[in-house]
Order: sequence, then structure tokens, then C-alpha cells
Amino acid sequence: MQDGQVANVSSAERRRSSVLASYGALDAPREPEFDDIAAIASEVCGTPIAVVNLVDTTRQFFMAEVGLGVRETPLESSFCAQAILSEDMMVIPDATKDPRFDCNPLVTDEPHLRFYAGALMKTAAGVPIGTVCVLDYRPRDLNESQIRTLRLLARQAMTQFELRKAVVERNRALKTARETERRFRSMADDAPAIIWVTDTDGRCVWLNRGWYDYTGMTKWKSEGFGWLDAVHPDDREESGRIFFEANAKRIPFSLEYRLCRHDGRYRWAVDTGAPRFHNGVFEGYVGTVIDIEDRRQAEMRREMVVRESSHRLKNAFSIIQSIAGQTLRQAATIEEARATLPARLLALASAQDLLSQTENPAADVRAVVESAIRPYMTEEGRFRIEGPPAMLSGHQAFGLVLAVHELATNAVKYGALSVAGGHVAMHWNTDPDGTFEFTWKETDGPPVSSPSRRGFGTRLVERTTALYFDGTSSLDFDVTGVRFRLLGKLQSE
Amino acid sequence: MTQTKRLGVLVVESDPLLLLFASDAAADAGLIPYEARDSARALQILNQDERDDLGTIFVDTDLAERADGMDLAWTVHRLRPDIRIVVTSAGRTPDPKTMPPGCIYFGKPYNIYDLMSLLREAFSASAD
Repeated sequence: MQDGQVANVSSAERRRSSVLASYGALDAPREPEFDDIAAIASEVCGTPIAVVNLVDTTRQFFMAEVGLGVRETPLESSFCAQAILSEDMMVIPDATKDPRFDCNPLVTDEPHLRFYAGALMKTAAGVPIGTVCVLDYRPRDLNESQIRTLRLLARQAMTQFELRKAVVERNRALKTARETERRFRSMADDAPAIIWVTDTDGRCVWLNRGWYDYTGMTKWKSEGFGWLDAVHPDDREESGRIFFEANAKRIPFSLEYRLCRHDGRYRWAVDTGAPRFHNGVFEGYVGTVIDIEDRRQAEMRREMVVRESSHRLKNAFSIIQSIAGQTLRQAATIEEARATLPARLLALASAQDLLSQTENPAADVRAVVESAIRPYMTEEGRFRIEGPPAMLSGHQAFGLVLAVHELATNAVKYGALSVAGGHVAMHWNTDPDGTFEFTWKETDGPPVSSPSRRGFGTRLVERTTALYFDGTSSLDFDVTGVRFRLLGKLQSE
Repeated sequence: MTQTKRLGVLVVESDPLLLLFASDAAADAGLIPYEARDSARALQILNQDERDDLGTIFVDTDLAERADGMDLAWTVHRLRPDIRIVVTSAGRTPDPKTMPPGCIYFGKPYNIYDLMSLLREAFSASAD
């Protein structure tokens, strides 16, 4: 029967064992509270042995004992294992006369135990976990007062175990709570944003590390309403108003303001807050602040580029309409207009190319000039181009292309390029102070006479080019060849 | 001075080509163009010799990428309320509240013939 008990641990036993384990008392060090209970039991009952005993499935553990000198014994020879099966009090006056124990080695051999009395320790749910018991080497009995005391001691021991368990559970819960708190705080601190919390009056009660790193402010300066000091003075009033309005209505809000970074620079930030409620009761707000300066700058640049492109496009259309209008109006014949207009528009387009090539357009004088005369470079040696490397701003390149185009067109029609053997020389020079001089000189062409009426192209060369260079220009219809001279300043873009 | 003598048009435009075209348009409309590429030059012309033949100013609001053309329009309105103001721009149509009273807006891109008839109309209005 004893073997059977060990081998067949019932499910009720397993449940009891796990309840027992939940007290965390097995193999625990000695504690004076339990020692006292064992001492009182021994004293009151007048027995040499008293034990506060926890009964597990395969062994019993002595939380406290008097007169034994060991802290655990196997279950086979246990009296208490029997007690666990009985109601709540078991008394064996003489074990040699009890069929349950007359074969027990503790009875038949050393130490020849004779008397046993045990009171059950039961949890509030009625699960027995052990006993408070007394033993003697001679047969005897207990009076009612002794039995009642033993019962009370068992209850007292149980109460001690409950207290102990409560403390263990509370400590475990506290540790979990601390760990959860630590984890959330580190999440909040390491989040790539500023996080803040306010109370019901709108006072700031907590800010994450992001805030302190960003603003360089101290805790005592930031909490309460001190954080408003980091908001740009011009944005402070409006920001405060939006926040307090939302706070009064308990509604989410989002606002933008300039926030002072630790280096003293104000940068645009977006502040978003949402009300916190616990069981329907308003507790304040939680919110984030995110630096949007870079995004805002990019947006502004994009807007500027769009606006700029629209400007350029409309200006370009105005120029095209004007060129078309003037060309058509001044052409002597429709054939002439038919030839002049596309060439002019083409020159305009190639000049526009120079402007739109890069974001910060600049071009070398030689490249600009060559692009303007490319359609007229029909044979070698007609043009002589000389000058040092010099960069023109986009606008100046545009102006020079138009001028050279008109000069070349005129030369092909009436000047040096209208006959074989005629030449055009282009020279330019720059000074360290930015002075720019450009000349166009035709030689070996037919004799030149001043035109009776200044055409559109001529006026364009005479009047407009100088404007691009903030300087002066002259166009001479010298009898030996057309001469153009421009004197101005290079623009540094 | 009589009203009918006021043939002068002050053209204020920072783009050299557009300046040339607008002033040509004024000349072709039978008026006398004066050219300026910025506000400072425009005000100089306005104050020069009590330039009282000026009847109209045609001004681009975006002078050399600075939006001070509208400021110039207001200055002209204050100094010479008798001058008709025509404002042009490659940007958005300005809010009428930002323009001086009686000011006409003529957006880019514009047709040169439309500009000519506009300037002629402005001239006859100032001659009334």
C-alpha cells in the first residue's frame, strides 16, 4: 500500500503538490516564527518531538522541528502522510497497537516512536499542505486543551505561510511592474521623437530624453509651463491658445511652431497631442514633437522652383510672342519673315538651353559664341575666335547668343559672310575686376552702308545686349565692315 | 502743360528683351517710351525735370527676382495720382486689395498688340 501510494500519485495529489510549491516554503531556511510554533507545541503537549511539517508527494519537509535534528524524511515512514488523508486531527496514542503503523520502521526499530498527534494545515480553499505534529517515544494521550492548542498552532502556521506567500507574490509583482516601467521608460526615452505628458490643468509633468537632448533644457526649467520658453516668442501666444483650447474641450490637436534647439537655432516642429482617459476620466494629454525643419525647407524650395519655372515659362512665352510679332511686322515680305522667324526662335531656344542646363547656369564665352554661329560655320576659316576662358552667367550667355546670332544673320545677308573671302573676327578680354569687353569685326566683305531703317535685329543688338551686361555697346556700319563693341561687367551668379 | 501732351509711358521691366518689346509696343502705339530695369531708375526718371509728360507707367511686379514692382506702383500712386498704372507679372494674378486703386492688371504672357491697345486706351483715359 505504501509502494502504491508512491507510484500512483493521483491528480488530487499533484494539485496539492503544486499548491504547496506556490508557497515557496520547501527547502527554505529556518525561520524563528515556525521554530516558535514547534517549541510551543512541544512545550504544551509535553512531548520531546514537535514538527511543522510540509508533505509533498514523495517526501516531507520540516519547516521547523524540535527533538529530531533532520529537516526532511522520505514519505514511506511518515505518520503525517496518513494525517493528510484523515480529517484535520489525528491522534495515535500507541502506534504498536495501530494497524496503520505497527509495521512502520520508525516504530519497530530506532527511534521506537510510540505516540503521534498531528493537526492539519489547510489552505483557505481546504487543500491540506502539511501538519503541526508532536511525537513521543512512549504511549500517551493529549487532553482537550492540548488538542485545541495544537489545532490553533496549525492555523497559526498556516497563517504564517499565507503571509509569506503574499509577500513573495507582491515582490514578484513589484519586480514585474518595475521591469515593465523600465522597459516603457526606455522605449519612451529612445523613441526618435520628443514625447510629453501633461496633467488635467495642462501642466507638463513628464518629458522624455528626446526633449532634454533636443532643447538642452533642465527638468526643473521644462516641467510645468517652462517648456513654452523654448518656443519662438512670435509663436508662443498662438501655440498656448491652441493648446489650452484643446485642453478645455479634451480634443486632439496639432500645431506647428519654431522650437529652440540646444544650439540656439529655431527650427520648425509639429506638436501633436491627444487627451488621455482612464475609465472615462480625463487625466491630461500625451503628445509628440517632431522636427520638420528639413522637410519644410525642402517644401519651400520645391514651391520656389515651381513658381520660378512658371515665371520663366510665362516670360519665355512673352518673348516668343514679341519676337514673332516684331519679326512679322517688320519683314518686307512674307518670304523674309518665313526665313527670319524660325532662325530667331531657334537661336532663342539654344540660348534658353544654356539657361536651363544646370540649376546654376554658367557657360564659357567660347562655347556660347560657337553655339550661336554654328549654323553659319559652313566653311573653314571664315571665323576667327580669340579670347581667354571666362564664365558667363545664364542671363548674360542668353544675351550674347541673341546678339551674335543677329550679327551673323546680318553678315550672311549683307556683310562679310555674303561673299567668298569675307571674314569675321571675335575677340574678348576680361579684367580681374570683372570688366568684359567683346568685339565683332567683319573684314573683306562688300562695302557697307548704314541701313536706312534700323530693323528689329539691329535694335536688339544695339540696345538689349548692353542691358544684359550692365554696360554700353556700339554698332558701327563702317564702310570696311560692320563693327560691334560691347563693354560691360561679368555677373557672378 | 495740357493733358493731350502727356504721351510718355514709363516701362519698368528687368528682362532686357521684354523691356525692349514693351517699349517698342509703346512707340508703335504712338507714345514716347521711357525705360527702367529697376525701381531706383524708375523713380529717378519720374522725378527728373518734373517729368510731366508721363501719363502711364507699365511695371512688372517681379523686378530682377525681387517683388518690389508692386511697391513701386504704390509709390507712383502716392507721388503722382494722375499717372495711370498698369501692372504685369509672370506670377499669379495679384489680389486686387494689394494693388493701388484704379490700377490695371495685365498678366504675362501677353500679346504685343493687346499691350499696344491697352497703352493707347490708358493714354486716352489720362487725356480725358
